[in-house]
This record gives sequence, C-alpha cells and structure tokens, in this order.
Amino acid sequence: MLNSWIAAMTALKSVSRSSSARFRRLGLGAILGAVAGAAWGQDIGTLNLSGSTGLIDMPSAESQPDGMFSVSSAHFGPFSRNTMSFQVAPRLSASFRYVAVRGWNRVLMDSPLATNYYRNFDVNYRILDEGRYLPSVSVGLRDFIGTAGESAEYIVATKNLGPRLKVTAGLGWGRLAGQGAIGQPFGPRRRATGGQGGTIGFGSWFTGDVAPFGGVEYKLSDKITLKAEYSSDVYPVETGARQLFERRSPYNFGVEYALGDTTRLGLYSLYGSSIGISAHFLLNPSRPRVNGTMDPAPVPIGPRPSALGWGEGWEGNGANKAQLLKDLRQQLAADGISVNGLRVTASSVEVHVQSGGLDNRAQVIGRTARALAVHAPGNIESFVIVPQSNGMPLSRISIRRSDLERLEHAPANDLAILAETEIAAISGAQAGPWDRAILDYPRFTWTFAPYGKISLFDPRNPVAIDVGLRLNAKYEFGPGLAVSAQLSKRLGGNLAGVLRPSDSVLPPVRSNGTSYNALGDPSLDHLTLSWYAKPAENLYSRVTVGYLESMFGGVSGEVLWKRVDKPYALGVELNYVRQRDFNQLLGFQNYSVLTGHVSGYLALGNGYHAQLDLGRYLAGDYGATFSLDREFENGWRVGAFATLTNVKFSDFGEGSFDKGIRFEIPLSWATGRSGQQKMTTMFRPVQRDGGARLDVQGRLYEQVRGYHEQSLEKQWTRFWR
Amino acid sequence: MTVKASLAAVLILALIAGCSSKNTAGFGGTVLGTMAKGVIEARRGAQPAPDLGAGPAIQVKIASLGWDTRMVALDRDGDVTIWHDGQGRQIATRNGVLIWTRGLGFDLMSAKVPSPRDIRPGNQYQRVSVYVDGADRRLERRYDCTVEIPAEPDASIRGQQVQEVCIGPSGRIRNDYWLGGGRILRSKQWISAHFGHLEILPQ
Repeated sequence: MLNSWIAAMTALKSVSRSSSARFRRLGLGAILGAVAGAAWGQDIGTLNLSGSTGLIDMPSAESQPDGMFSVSSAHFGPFSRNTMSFQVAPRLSASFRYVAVRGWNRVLMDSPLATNYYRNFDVNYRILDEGRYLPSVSVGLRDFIGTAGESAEYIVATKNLGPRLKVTAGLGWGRLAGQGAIGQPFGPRRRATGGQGGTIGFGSWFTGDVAPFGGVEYKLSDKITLKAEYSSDVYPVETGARQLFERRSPYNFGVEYALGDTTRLGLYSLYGSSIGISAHFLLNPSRPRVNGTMDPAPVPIGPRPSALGWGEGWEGNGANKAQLLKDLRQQLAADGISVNGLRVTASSVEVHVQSGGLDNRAQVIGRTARALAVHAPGNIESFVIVPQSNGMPLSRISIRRSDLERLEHAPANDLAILAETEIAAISGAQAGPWDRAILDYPRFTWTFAPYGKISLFDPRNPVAIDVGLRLNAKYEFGPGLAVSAQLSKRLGGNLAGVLRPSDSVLPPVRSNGTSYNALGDPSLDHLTLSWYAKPAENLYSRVTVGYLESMFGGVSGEVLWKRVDKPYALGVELNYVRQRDFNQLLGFQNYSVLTGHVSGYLALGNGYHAQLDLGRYLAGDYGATFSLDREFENGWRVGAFATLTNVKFSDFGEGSFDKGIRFEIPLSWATGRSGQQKMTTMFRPVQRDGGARLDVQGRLYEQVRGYHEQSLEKQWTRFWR
Repeated sequence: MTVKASLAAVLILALIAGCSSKNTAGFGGTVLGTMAKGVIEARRGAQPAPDLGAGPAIQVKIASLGWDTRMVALDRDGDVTIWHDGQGRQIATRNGVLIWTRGLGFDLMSAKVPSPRDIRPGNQYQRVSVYVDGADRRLERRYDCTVEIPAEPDASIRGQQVQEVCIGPSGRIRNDYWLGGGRILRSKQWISAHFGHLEILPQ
C-alpha cells in the first residue's frame, strides 16, 4: 500500500563546469563507421506501451542502440504509463516507470486513493544476438524492485524474416503468466516481498506458472509499422475486484508512426475493449545536433611574431609582460577562457586558465595553445598551460611551439600533438605566488533568471511545477576564495501544495520537504564562503561554510587525493551541520549532526564510472552508497545509485532503502554550440530520511578529474578545434 | 539531427525537467533561441558577405546546405591556404585539396590527401580522413583511391577533368578535379557524410 505522502523532488541545477569524459585509450584505434545510428527497422526494436523494447504490451528480444535514452507515455483504459528507459550497454537496458491507475477505489472502497500509482523498475538483457538462422534472445525482469504488484519475468526470442517482418515469441512468469499457463517448471510462485516494498524479490523469479506470448511486427513503410500480439497478462487486480478494466480478448493490434527518428506515435486496439495511444521520444546521446561543434573557427597559428624589440631580459620587463597578458586575455575572451596567471622566462611562457564557455576540455587547451603561438614573442619555444578550477591548478600541460607550428595542418594531427604533449602534476606551491598586477581579482558575477522546479510521484500532486525568479551571485576575493549566494522567489505553481509533516521514525532530515517548499518563499537556497586549495601535487582541498543547501547549514570540509595519470581517486569529507528553519532564511532548528564519508572513485573504462561512499548520513545512520554512471565524451551522463545503511527497512519506511537514477544532458548537445550548462536531473522513487547525504555544492572530484590524463585524452580529437 | 528532432529533444527536456537559471532565458529558452537562430541561418543560406577585402578568393558551394559563399585567404603556410568567410567558418586546402573545415559542424578535422601531382589518371593512393563523431569520439576513415578519366566529362568547365574514385569501409566516394598547368583549377570534393560534396571554384 502506498504511503500517502510520497514526494520525489527533481531539482534543476546548473553546473558551472563541464565534467564528463570516458576513459578510453586512444591507442585502441578508430571506431568504424558503424557508429552511425541505425535507422528504424534495422535490427533495432521498437518500443511497447511499457516503454521498453517490445511489441504492444509484450516485450521482445531486440534492443535499442547503445546509449539510447527514451521517454514514453502510454494510455489506455484506466492506465497511464510513463517510462524512462536507457540502453545501459549494447545488451543491457533498464527502465523506470510510473504507472497511474484511475478509479482505484471506485468499487472496492478500501483506499483513500482515487488514483493509484506504482513505480516499476525493469531490466532486460540480450543473451543471444540474431544470426542467420537463430533469433535474438533476451531475458528480462519487470517490476523487480518495489511492491511487486506487476512483477513478471520472461525469456523471449525475436527473428527478422526479411526486411519488413519480425516475429516474437516468449515465455512469461508472474504477471506474464496470467493466461494459457503450460506448467510450473520451477515450482509454485513464491510471493515476492511485501512489507515496505523497494527490495528485490530474488526468490520469486521464474517461479509459478509459465505461459507463452508472442506477436508479429510488420513494417509497412519507412514510417508506418503494424503490430499484432497475443498477450498473457490478464490484469488480475484491475479486471477482478476493482472492476476497472474489461479484458475481452488476449489479442492486441496497433499501428505506429515514426515522426522523424526521434518520435513515435501509436494507436492500438487493446484486449478487445480499449483504445490505447502512445508517444515515445528517443534521445540518442550519439546523435547530437551537430557532431563536434559549430563554434567559430579558431585563429590560425600563422608566422611567429618577431623577437625584435623584446630583447634580452625582456621577461623581466613588466610592461612587456603586461602587453602579453593583455593580448592573451583579448584573444581568449572570445572563447570564454580567462587568464588567471602568467609566468614568463627567457624561453617559456606559462598561463593559468579557467574555461567559462567551452565544455570540451581539449578544445580549451588547444585554443590556449593557439593564442600563445600567435602572441608570445618569437624566441619563446615552450608553452605550459595550467587549467584551473576554483583557483586550484589541476594539471600542467607542456607543448612545444615548434610542434604546434609543424602539426597545424598535418593529417591525424590530434594523435600527433598528443604524442608530443606532456600532462604532469602541479602543486599549489608551484603555481603561485602571483604578481598582484596579473590577477584580476576581486571578481563579481551574478545572474538573474527565471527557474522552474518539478516534483513528481506525489499521488496527491503527481505533476507539480513551480516557477519563479532566481538571483545568483558570486564574489571572488582571490583564487579559490569566494562568497556565493542564491536567492529564489516563487512566482506561481502548484508544487507547494498541502503541508504534510513527516511521519518518519528517523530524524526528519529530508522527509519534511513539503514544509520547506510551502514555507520557504522567498528562500535563501545557499549562502556560503568557500575556500579551495591544492596543498600538494595530488591533493585537493575544500572548506565550505554557511548555509550549504536548502535544508542544512554549517561547515563542510573535503580532501581529495587524485593523481593526474591515474583513473582512481580517494576522498574524505566531514561535515557538521544543523537543520535549517522551514522558511529557508537565516534561522536553524534544533537538530544537528556530524556526517562524513570516505569515498572511492574509479573510472572503469568504456565510460563507466563507479563510486563507493562509506560513512555517516544526515539522520545519524551509518552505511554505504554505491553509484554507477555511464558517461559519453560529449557530456551525456546517466547513472543509478543505492544506499544501504543500518536503518531497518521498516524504519526507513516505504521503499526500504534510498535509491535513484540521475542523468545529465549538456546544453551543447542540443544546440551544437559549446557551453558548460547542463540539465541535471535526479529521480528518487521515494525521498525518506535514511541514507541522506548533504547536498553541498562544488565537491572536488567532478571538477578535478576533467583535466587529468584519462578525461582529457578522451576528448583530444577536438584539440585543434 | 534535424530541427524537428531537436524540437522533440527540447520537448522532452522541458517535460522532464525545468529550466536552469544561469542564462536569463533558462535552459529551455536558450535551446529554443539558439535553434531558432540556427534555423534562420540555415534558411538564409548565403548571407550578404561581410567585406573581406581584396586578395586571393574562391567561391565555395555546398549543395546540401544550399550554400554559395565567397571565401578569402586568411593565412598561408607553405602549400596550405586557410580560407574564411568572415562569419566563423574556415576551410583549408593543400594545393587546392581540402584538408580540414571548421565552423560547419560535422567538420573534417584533418586529412591525408594527394598532391595535384598524384591526381593523374591511373594513379592509386590512400586517403585518410579524421572526424569527430556524435559522441565526441575520434572517427577515422581510410580510402583506397584510383584516379580515372570520367566517362562523360563536363566540357563547359575549363581544365582537364579527372575523377578520384575512393573506396572505403563506408562506401564509395567520387571527387572531381579540373586540372590545368599542374594546379587544380576547380574541384568538387567530399567533406563528410553529413554534407556530401563541397565545390571550390576560382574567383
């Protein structure tokens, strides 16, 4: 039974730095042309009403292209299904679905809910690829975490007979064995967990009745597809006691229309009793608006400026340095790169830069190198580029000027210049100190803009949206030291609906979200003083003090150890925080807590990143969080996380333990122009108090790793861009 | 990805999340604004060119975009010339053979190309082109090329017409060159799968 107040906040945050990259050795060689996305019907499956690859209500054995992200919405009878699916790997896909069933308590008046909501997770794994004679075969689990109302398991095969016809046949257990059962190969159905739901019912998989299902799919034209299937799902609850739905026949028929290659619409006749409609939106991270970017072309390197007039000992002349700094700043301003430091010797120039616009980090290095080649006096042979984040020098990249000149127009010059480039570590001490004259601090930046906030899954308010105005300001005293504030004022919306005080047995560290929403207007989202430093070559540190996030304020400290040439890192974070007043202004409540984590980070290769955090959470519970993310070089990122702590599932409440999925889509993917803005969204089926972490801004790992070897080399093809 | 596809993407993004706050228009607004600009730019095709001055110039046409632009030499480095249109787009040619483009999106990043001396009927050589794919990964295409005299040469164009037929893993590409005096006078060259051919005409 669903708890009456469930709220998952999806909050939109802008991240001020690009962060994505995948570990992949360039030496592995080029990718062949097969990377180009497949058109419909070429061994790629279509989506079903459940938003996963399949026929109409039944699954099929095919998959979506690797990395495909889809959002689907399907409606028939009393049902609405909204699903997000992701092809995690070429063979593995996962779906998160939100199902609404209307009229829930109309006949059986046992629930206060007029509409019942389910959240389902599915996974599907393709165990056999289609061959000349063999079909493709997949195994899948539907609704395998949760209250298990719709749990089903299946094994299914799909064969393409010619370019137009697909035939699918499978065997289903659980909900997919409602009709036409042919036996119980693994014994009777063991009930999955009830209780609070949210746990994985291993013991019940593939038990109980098994029944066949199947169907065909016929591609009438490039745009139109016909489908017909025999469904083994009898919808026991909805057709039974609740009398919501009539299932007159097990046969479903449908026609689907492809609107471009990103949208599909469908119309169906379902179970002899309903008309159904569906809409699917597909985003393929590998199909952006443009490959690369449409950014304006870079400055050509051209002949060297002469060394005349600079003379011996020119580097000691302040006026010369000031001129060089001015020229570099002007050149790089067009690319949104700011020059934070400059050091010259007789034969080398070192610049410290921070990128405010370009999200491709190799392009940042390349543009900086070009600017140096154009403006540095002719006798300078060696360039050192130090990318920074929040004043922390991240790495030391050395390039010879003659290599830049020689390779500017050479074939395969991306690999060639990489072979000549050195990426080394740098400590904070090596980076400074700086002439006051060079640093252009203090700096003040601000933005004032509208914002939108969405909350989903609250059954009383399933889609709640707020809009308002937001003021963001940042005052930087010097490298690494800044005051930052964000103030929001709600203008309208239905998100701050009914106040629902927490019923949690744990300290209500997150479950009073509705109170914060209702009473926090205007809200001081954060007001912090942050200090970033680089104590040693491989050590980064952060201290943040103030109102750290909307619900907590205090002190947060973090230290990260990461080597420039390694794909792993280790961090420690310690926070002492107090819960803020519901009005999200300057006051605090009584609850305070010491939290902290030890975190291990590992880039697994092929774009997969794992993170393990062990420590103490906001409610005082101890445990661990495991996250797995998949990143693409262009900035797309999709991931999932789960936290298990010493809080009993019954104490945690509905959902049993904290889990969620998150994704990031870079703005540059949609627009074709570079930019660091991203859309970051996190979905939690249930927001409770166990396993809750402080949401402090500017944690170290994401900003630090971007200019380290693995991350930087993966983007290197755009160095000359 | 077409404009329609981008609009669908924005719809999804708008549906499942809100707007961000860093830009005055918010994420959704920024995307729509940039795309609208892009659509207008694409539809306009050859805009009235900014004054690029005198100097060596070429006329560049990209049929798939409906482009017809004058480009002027921006820089010369040995046998390589960089041409620009004053609006952030550049192409570079080595002795008249295209070696890279910038600012077009789906750019050719770098290439190993023949010299005009190599482009003689009967010659065979290899070409290599490097691109960035949709996921920002490196994409390299290798072709085995043969130079032929075309069956039906276009007599209206000055110069000896030869055709380069290149076969690679992704298919067959034909490039046309009109030669004269040991130089390439005019050409029709492949940029990328997205754009197809680019024509370079003398001015």
